[in-house]
Amino acid sequence: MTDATQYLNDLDAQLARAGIRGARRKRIVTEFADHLSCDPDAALGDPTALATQFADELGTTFARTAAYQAFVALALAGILVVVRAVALLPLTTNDFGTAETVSLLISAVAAQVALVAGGLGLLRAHQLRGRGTIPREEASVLARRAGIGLATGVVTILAFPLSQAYRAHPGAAVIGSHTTNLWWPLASAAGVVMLVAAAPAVVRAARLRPHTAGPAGDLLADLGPLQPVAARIASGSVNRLAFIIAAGLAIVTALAGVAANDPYDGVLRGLLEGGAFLGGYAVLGRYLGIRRREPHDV
Amino acid sequence: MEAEQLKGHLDGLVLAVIAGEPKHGYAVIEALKVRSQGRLDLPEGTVYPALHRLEHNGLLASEWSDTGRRRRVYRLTNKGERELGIRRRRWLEFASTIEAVLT
Repeated sequence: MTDATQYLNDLDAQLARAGIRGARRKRIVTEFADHLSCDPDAALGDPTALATQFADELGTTFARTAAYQAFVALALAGILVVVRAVALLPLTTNDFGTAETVSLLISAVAAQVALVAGGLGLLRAHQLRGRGTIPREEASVLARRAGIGLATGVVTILAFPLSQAYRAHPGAAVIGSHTTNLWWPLASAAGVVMLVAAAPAVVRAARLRPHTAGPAGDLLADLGPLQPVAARIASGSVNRLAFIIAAGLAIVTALAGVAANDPYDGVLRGLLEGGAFLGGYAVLGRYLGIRRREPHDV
Repeated sequence: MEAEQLKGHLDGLVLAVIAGEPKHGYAVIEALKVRSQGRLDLPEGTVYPALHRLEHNGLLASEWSDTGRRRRVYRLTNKGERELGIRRRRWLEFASTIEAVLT
């Protein structure tokens, strides 16, 4: 076995170990083989260090791309959800059974999770835009935010159509009574296609992550130039900031109820909204990099 | 000039040497050596991750060329040309500012 062949075998093994698979790995090895055939004495560098550099640079750029693509897909799907809501406006509350009510409740919760995950993914990617390499944990946060955003986006869109499929008597279902209205099924299908189209970028980011160690930021790090202000308001505590946001949401929702001459319902919805936010923060906060992981989790 | 000093500039240098005509990896590295008159001292393999990253970011495009040997040839995209223009302007501004202070 020649030195060049040995080097290329080592490089191939190290690229595989770094998480670079399939056609890309084959392409890299072919490029290095071509280089060595041009100059057999070329100092290409240590295969382990090179594989790590590939993983760091590509993992960083894949993670950012996943966050951007997920946000764009969610934004477009969000427009389609609005189109669908407009198409469903002619329906009256009499058209809604338990299945529709439950599906709309699931849609409402999933939509908010999608909005938060996708929006925060975009914010974090934007904050990290100038960095050639980001820590593995940051890349994981970007991939998770994008993945959760897309998954809950699909749930948002599919909950209502699934409620129609669940109906025992399709003739009595909303879809049956509005067969001439093609807008809402079309908008639902197009929304799912948008979200699914962004999924490969998230899978790629999840499969190839940088090797550089280091902690990920938290909600304060997402805020960029607003970080000092937010940190001062919340005395530097992300938990306190979450409570402040939850309280703000609850107050705004309650005030909307008051404005609509339904203060009791408004206060109830405000409490539910604030509680749901805190529940989401408690369940997904660490996973989505909104609050820091404990040192032993890093 | 060592690799550490090139941090932040490698992308611009790679774009600049590919701007003239499409090149494969080895030719990119040779062009960097020639145009820097041998003063750029960086491990040759480190240019390849940059080529892949720049391609993923849409600044470069590449395709296989089978003229006797299978190799990947890179060319600048329109986005890459715009990015190169921006980097050139920034560098000239930076260099002239430093020069004005130092000399």
